[in-house]
Amino acid sequence: MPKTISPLQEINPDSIRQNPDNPRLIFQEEEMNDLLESIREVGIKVPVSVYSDGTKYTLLDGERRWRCAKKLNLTVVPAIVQPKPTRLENLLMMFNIHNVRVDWDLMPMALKLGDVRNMLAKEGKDTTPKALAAVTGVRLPTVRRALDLLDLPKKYQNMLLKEAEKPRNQQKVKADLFIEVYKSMHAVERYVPAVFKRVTKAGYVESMVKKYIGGVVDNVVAFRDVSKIARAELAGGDKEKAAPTIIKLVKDRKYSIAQAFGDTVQAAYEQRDLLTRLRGITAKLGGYKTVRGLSQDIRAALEDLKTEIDRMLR
Amino acid sequence: MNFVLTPEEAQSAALAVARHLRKRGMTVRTEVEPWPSAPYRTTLVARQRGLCLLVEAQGTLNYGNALKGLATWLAANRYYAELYLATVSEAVIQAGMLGEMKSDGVGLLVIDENGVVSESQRARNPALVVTPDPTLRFGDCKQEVLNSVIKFNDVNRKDGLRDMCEVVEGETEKLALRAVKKG
Repeated sequence: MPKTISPLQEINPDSIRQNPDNPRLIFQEEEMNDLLESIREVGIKVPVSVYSDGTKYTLLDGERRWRCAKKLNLTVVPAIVQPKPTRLENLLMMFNIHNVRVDWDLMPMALKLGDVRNMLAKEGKDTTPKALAAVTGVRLPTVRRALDLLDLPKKYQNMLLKEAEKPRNQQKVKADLFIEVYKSMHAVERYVPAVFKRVTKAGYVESMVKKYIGGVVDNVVAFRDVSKIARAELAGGDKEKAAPTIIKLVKDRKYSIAQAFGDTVQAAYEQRDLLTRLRGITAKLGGYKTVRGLSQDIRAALEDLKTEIDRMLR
Repeated sequence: MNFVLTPEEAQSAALAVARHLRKRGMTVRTEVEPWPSAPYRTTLVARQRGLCLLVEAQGTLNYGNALKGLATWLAANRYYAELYLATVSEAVIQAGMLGEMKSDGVGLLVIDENGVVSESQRARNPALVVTPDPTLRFGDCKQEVLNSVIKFNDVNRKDGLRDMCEVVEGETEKLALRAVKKG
């Protein structure tokens, strides 16, 4: 890391260029407008950080401020000039400076994280998710999710980059969609491998993404139910039904996950859930050695329970 | 065409307008200062025979203080220039904002889904704005003259000029009749 920092300088924004390793590829229009108005009113109060690169300077910190300064045609911006870092130092600085303030969109960050991983590997350093989290300052679960995205086909990566251009509240296709779809695919692959003799994995992902974009599936968590269908046997469901149902799910555009879940394992999961609860109640009731002091409300609830139990056992 | 300062949401509108202006024979540059002391760099600066067209492309229409400042600066310096905001047809446009833009002489370009650019509101060119000398006395024609000046400045230049000519013709006729009566 750079060891010395030069005093504050005033630099023409035109002699500063963007940092090519800043994973923040997307700058939202609305946020930029707010900052622009603020800088127009009060100027740049916090200096940007740059390093000298021959005749030009490269940004380390303050890209939004720099963009606004250029937009407002300011002649100088306050800047702290730092020694030139190596590429890896530069990338790590980008992570450490920026990502702790505002979360980057996951896909642009994943691409840069991939670069960091490759460079660390070249230097023979640890590239496990834990090590990457430590050097970049990004939380471990986020690193894991980002690395999952690096395995996505290019077209889905591009789809996520395109979506990241929109304000967050308008983004429909998010990284979570692919993470959930891929998790469900891995579950199907593990528990019902026969499915992928009839449909391809790419076809599976494509179909699930289309269902989500088309509104047939209304939330990304629903894909967890596909994993449940795949694991039907573990819940006491009919394993034979799982493969044809998942194949139908892939091939039939309008067949929803909720329908598929209802057609296969819903009853089995409900029974398993009921069993767990009943065992819990039985254990709880067994813990009472005496019935003295029971409130009227508990007595009434137990009577109701008894009536339901009698009805079900009849 | 490479954008650095223009948000991604606005780039498709910027590209469509740049194509449109180039077809009209204008030289188009992106994100440059139109004049060294300008208070704002618009997305596009197009020039042709002395006319400078400044276009700010936006994904969501926003006529903020920075753009108002630019409009005021252009007017104060009476530049031979026109300032436009450009956005896609799906963008939400607030009626109040349009009124504000109109009164500041800022135009609006709208780009449809096929990339066709249409002028929804014409910009005012500060160099062509007429301000009558306040000490002049127009007598009975005061209101007509003021109306025609407003029309002229408010981008209906031909109509304004025609009205002014009619006022002058009418007054000349009256003067001629008076002269005839006097012999």
